Amino acid sequence: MHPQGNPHIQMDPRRVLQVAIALAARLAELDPGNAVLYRQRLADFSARWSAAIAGWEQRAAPLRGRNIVVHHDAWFYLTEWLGIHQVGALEPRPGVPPTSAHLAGLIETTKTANTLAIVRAAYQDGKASDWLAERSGVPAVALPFSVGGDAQAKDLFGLFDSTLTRLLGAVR
Amino acid sequence: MNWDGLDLGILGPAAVAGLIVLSTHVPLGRQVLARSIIFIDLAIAQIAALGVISAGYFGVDEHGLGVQMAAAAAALAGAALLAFTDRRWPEYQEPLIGTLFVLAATGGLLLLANNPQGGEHLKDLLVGQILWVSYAQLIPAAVLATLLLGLIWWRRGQLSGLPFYALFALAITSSVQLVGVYLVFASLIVPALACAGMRGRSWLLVAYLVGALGYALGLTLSALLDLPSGALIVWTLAGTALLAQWLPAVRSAHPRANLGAH
Repeated sequence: MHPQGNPHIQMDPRRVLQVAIALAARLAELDPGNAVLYRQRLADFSARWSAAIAGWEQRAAPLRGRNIVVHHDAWFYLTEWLGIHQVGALEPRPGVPPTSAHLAGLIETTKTANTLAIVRAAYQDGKASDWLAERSGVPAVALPFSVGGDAQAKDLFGLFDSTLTRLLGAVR
Repeated sequence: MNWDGLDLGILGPAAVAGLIVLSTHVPLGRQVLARSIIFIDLAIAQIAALGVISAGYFGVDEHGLGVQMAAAAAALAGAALLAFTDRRWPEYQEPLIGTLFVLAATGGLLLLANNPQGGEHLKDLLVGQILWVSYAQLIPAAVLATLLLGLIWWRRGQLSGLPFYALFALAITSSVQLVGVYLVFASLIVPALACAGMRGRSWLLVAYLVGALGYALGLTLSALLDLPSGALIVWTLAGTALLAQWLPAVRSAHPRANLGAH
């Protein structure tokens, strides 16, 4: 699907900061007249963003070590950041419908792995994750996945606020 | 071979969904063949999808009853238009259906041009996945199929004009969301085609058997061979339709081409 590697880096805030640093440097190079402004803005963003990351990591402590099942393999960066384990995927090959053998195994895994949630992106149809939720008793959770994905994800800060609120809502 | 996939909890609802779809599509398929308007199901499905997209465009919640209403309303409006063109220009009905199909499909793209989630939406509406069906979803579909079958029985299968197109629109709108457009097309055309030459009541029985066996075989084989169910059922439906040609009653009913009659 993505021969050059998984592009969904936006779900790891540490990588968002790397992007901001590279972007500010490139903008300053292209537009040297405003270089000072770019550097000031970067410093401001970095300070606010780093504080936010610390807050999120603290809030996310109950998620560490928990298992999730995903709709598509698009959550690698989020799970790596939060120390969550992905134990299965509803559609391991995007666009190809899963087979009944795969689904039978997945129901079993979801039930036995003390799974926290069945995660999908807000733009994905809920049919598949609701189907698995009904059969396994594990809640289905739709995460915004990008800015604008839900009402709370108005900007990058809101994206992670909303993602954590929704995941923590599944912790009992 | 993979025996883990033979799980009745997974295959059961899919099989029931197939039987519900077949119950209305087999008799309707006969009419579609008789009128040579094969692509009407694609056109109606696409118009129903357009209804859903327009509903989203005007801010209707995408998971509620409102969306079903929008899909059915759009499909019925399309059906009314097709009933009108059928009366007005019967000789152009098939090209008009084709034109309506491309207009509905591209109209959807135009409405979704500014919606980043549009492509995913359109795909979900048309492709469907028979294994995601739950029994709860099957209840409204079964009620609707019973009503439609009652209407067909009441009219003794003699449907034409607006009643035919309206009934067809409601059946397709419901079934496309259960099993997807490929299976809808196959369920409509293949069993009816297998018994196209037969007369009287027996054709309906044979066509239902072809359809039911096709679904049962497809679901079982897809579990054993670990292949996607919907796509394989299309092939097993075609397979059982071909096998049915071994039945003398089916074979002898087909009109023979008059070879070498110069």
